[in-house]
Amino acid sequence: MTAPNKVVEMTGIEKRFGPVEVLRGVDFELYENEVLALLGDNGAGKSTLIKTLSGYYQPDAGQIRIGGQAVSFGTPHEARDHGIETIYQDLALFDNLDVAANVFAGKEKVGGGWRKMLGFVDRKAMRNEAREAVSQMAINIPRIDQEVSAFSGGQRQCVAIAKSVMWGRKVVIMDEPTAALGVRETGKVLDLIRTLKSHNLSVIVIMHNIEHVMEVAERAIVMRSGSRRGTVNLNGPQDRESHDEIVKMLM
Amino acid sequence: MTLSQTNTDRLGDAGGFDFKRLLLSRELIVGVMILITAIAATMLSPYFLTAANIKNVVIGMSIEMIVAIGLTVVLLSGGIDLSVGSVVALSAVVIALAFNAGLSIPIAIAAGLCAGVVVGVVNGYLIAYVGLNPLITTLGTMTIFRSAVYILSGGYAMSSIPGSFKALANGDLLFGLPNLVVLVVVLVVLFHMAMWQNVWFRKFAFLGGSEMAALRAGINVKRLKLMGYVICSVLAALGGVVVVARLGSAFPNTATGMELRVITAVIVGGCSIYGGRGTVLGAALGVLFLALVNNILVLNAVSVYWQGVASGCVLILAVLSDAIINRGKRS
Repeated sequence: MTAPNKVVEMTGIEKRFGPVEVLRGVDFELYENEVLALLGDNGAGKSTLIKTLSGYYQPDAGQIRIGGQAVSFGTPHEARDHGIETIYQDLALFDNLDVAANVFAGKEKVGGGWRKMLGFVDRKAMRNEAREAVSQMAINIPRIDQEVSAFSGGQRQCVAIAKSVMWGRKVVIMDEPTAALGVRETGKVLDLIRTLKSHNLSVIVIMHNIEHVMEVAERAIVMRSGSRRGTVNLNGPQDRESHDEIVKMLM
Repeated sequence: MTLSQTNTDRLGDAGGFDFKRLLLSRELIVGVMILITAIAATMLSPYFLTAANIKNVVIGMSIEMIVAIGLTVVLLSGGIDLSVGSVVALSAVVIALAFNAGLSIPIAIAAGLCAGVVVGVVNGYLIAYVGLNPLITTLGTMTIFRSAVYILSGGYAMSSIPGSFKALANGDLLFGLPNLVVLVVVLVVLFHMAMWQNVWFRKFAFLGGSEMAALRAGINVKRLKLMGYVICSVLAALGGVVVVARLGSAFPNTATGMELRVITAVIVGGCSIYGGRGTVLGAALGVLFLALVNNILVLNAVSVYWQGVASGCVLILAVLSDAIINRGKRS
């Protein structure tokens, strides 16, 4: 690898809530097209760091650069406009609606001609585009016109991710994507995360399970009491050395 | 590309049609029930299939049908509106007062509809922007505006309604179809299409599905909620316009208890009380079905006191059938 580009660069991020110093000058970088795992105990500051990047919190000090350009996000929408999508554990799906409606929520396509005058949506086009986006994922969706309430955890994850791929995001942040899943589903979601790379996305995953981290991530950043403890480069699931290194940092 | 193609094949739909789902859709089930009920009614009573009876049934339920459209919008968006019955009466009394004051028909109608807008904005503001519980809030406005009706009317029926206004509701300008039926059919079709296809109206289904997800999708959740209550109240006010035009007078006890009758019908028609599910067509069929059931009872000289028993049983059966159909599905 010849000096890969940094998609996200955060330097000296500080954040305090009242007297509590949650982030103490954290540096963070995400390279283009990489899967980065963010690890750390509860209260280590991973969530706060991620929420700073996705626009929910504004840092007290420090700088955020996206693609080399300095930015500051006042709201999550501004972060999203810069191509940063966060997928939370609850996935924020509409259980009562089908895949196409979920993928296009809030930005539904209006048909041409007379349908435009009446503001009627173009179901067929949305369905086709949603099918296209979903079919490129590692998880099969049984029917594109089925309500997502009938789907398994992995399939729901897939719909949520298809959304960010469709809207051309650069960075996808996933908060514990495997937390509530069984073994089989977990495997599928890990596959799903790998396929995101082929869509030129960079992924940040927050995970507690080190085995899962070893399987999907190329790099791991470990946080501890509000600062960055260290970084480990990972070489696949058999890399015992890196595994031990992570464990040591977490202890 | 080959990868995506093989996967698309495995998606198994390819524009295909889900017959099983259509068969189990509430609209079809209620539609079939209506047919069965109509056939049974024809066998039970020789008067059922007479023009006079059909006209009575259809006209009799037209007001509840209009109110049901608005309630569907609110229920679909995850709310509930108990104040619709009071709004019908309020609108009726306001119109009668407008006529008493010598105002013209269009202005009287506008005044009635404005009363609906006012109640809708009060409901919507309290629920969406202040964050009060919809059930409690509309229970409150239901009581308040019912009182307002008695205060405004002094408790008396007001019947100084111009004949030309009554003619609007009781005439039949189009192919001999009663005007009211035309109005109701147009409204049902219009709102059904809008909720199904229109970008703005579709947002109610998103809101009812998940408020948090709607918020994250960039939908102005509060304004949309408010608009839902305004639409519901304006339709209820239109129901009030129809009441006055049809009966030629405004009674202060108009539409008492109507909110629960219409909610029953709308749920029979497939609306979920938790939001996110339901169609205007289904709601309309629900109203029609309950109207037919009541009509059978009347034709067979069963006391009107039994109508509540019938409606209640239909409601519980509808919810029960839902539970059976959805058994084994992920919740």
